[in-house]
Amino acid sequence: MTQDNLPDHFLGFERASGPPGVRNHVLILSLSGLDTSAAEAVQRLMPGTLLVNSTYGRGQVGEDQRFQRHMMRAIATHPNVGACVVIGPDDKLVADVGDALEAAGRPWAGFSLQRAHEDRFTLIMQAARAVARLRHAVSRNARTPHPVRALSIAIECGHSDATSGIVANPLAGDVATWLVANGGRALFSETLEWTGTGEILAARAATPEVADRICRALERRHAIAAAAGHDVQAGNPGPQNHAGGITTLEEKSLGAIAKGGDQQITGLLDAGEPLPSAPGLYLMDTPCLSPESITSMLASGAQIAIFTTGEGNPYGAALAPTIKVTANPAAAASLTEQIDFDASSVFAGVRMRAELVPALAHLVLDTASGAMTWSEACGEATESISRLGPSI
Amino acid sequence: MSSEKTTKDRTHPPGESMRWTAVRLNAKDNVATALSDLAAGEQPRIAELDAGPTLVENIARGHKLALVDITAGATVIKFGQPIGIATRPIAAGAHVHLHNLEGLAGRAARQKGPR
Repeated sequence: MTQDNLPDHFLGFERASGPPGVRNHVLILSLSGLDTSAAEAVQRLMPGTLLVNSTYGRGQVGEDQRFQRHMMRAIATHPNVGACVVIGPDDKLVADVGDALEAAGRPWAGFSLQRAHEDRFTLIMQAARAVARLRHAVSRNARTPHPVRALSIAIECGHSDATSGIVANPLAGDVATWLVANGGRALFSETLEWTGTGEILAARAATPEVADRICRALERRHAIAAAAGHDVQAGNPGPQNHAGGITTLEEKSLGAIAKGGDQQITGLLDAGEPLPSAPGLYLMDTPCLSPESITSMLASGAQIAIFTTGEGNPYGAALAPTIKVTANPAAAASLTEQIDFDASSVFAGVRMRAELVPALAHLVLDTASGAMTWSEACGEATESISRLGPSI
Repeated sequence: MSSEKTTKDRTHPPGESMRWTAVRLNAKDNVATALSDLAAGEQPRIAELDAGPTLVENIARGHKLALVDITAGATVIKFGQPIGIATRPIAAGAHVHLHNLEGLAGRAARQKGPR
């Protein structure tokens, strides 16, 4: 047991390589918009499977193509995937992902429209049969105890309000601190939400190189925004923030970065870059849409997401259970099949934040061991892969 | 009615009264955030702080109050970090917002002069 009588382990699925999974999904992965509809048909035939698709996948070039292919390989071999059925337009693209699955020692099968002579029904029947075989196989995997240090958690905030910065985000930060103290990894992202806190984050960096990378990531995102004619600092914080009590941009950003706690920053990762095995808090340089940000973080190997919110939103990731936390009393009371953890007692002045940390950490471990989140129970399952440039 | 149990931490037992009416996020902070609408003359109850300042004006829920006297030009601290500079003297118990606090980013931009 760790402090506060928390278990020191969870029940996860051992993989042939890499960290254990907290889920044992059979994933249907569609590599391009050409085969997405067929992949959706396979999922409808075989309920209980997970579908992740990209409606792009061809005609991508340069950095955008490199990123897309990396993300497909990373999603296919995610720890929470027990087996993967890869569906793509051609054998070459399928093999690119298949090679990664092979290297990871993960059961898989691949099908292409090319091999099916461009006939969707042939492809659907072949793929559905493979899904059945893989489901039968992965059902033999059993949950076994794994230490807390095997966990990596992605932390996101979205649809935030005045309660987020003072309760839900710092609470998530407390859990991140607990996880790192026990040898695990936590990460958060959305670079432009750090605006105004670059020096503070840099001062917390483990090495001067990490500090430099944090500052350069912020500069790069500001340059992207400026090139599109968007000034991140103009009118930020906005009138709604002001009405809620937020005065300055630093204050707003500090409320956002509170979700990592105030611990040392071990590294800065590019979007989707694999997490190192060293314990610590990591930052990831991503855009600010929650689904894009979460998908990028999960591609790094994080098995669980904590999603803090103010007013709520139904989004749940496909690859990882998404634990939704709010301290907004109205949201917690009304969104009964959405909010996994109600921290509104802290905003109501009835509890201290510290009193809720063990309960949230416990929920993380229960979820890791198989307890469903509300978004899983509701069937929310979306991944959103960033585009880094236009198709040709 | 339903009988399912959830793993949710229930908000709090109905009728349990507020123990604290404002929160200080870090021991280094010179401001606290109101957890309910507070009235002038009230003394907010703040965890880990023996006596909060007597409020000199009303403070809306979510808004900041000065815990100590803050001189003009001094740094306002929340989350244990600077969130800006006091643009005028702020008395303990006063509202801290746009009229007396300016962010460092906005200040730097203005000092660079007009674009």
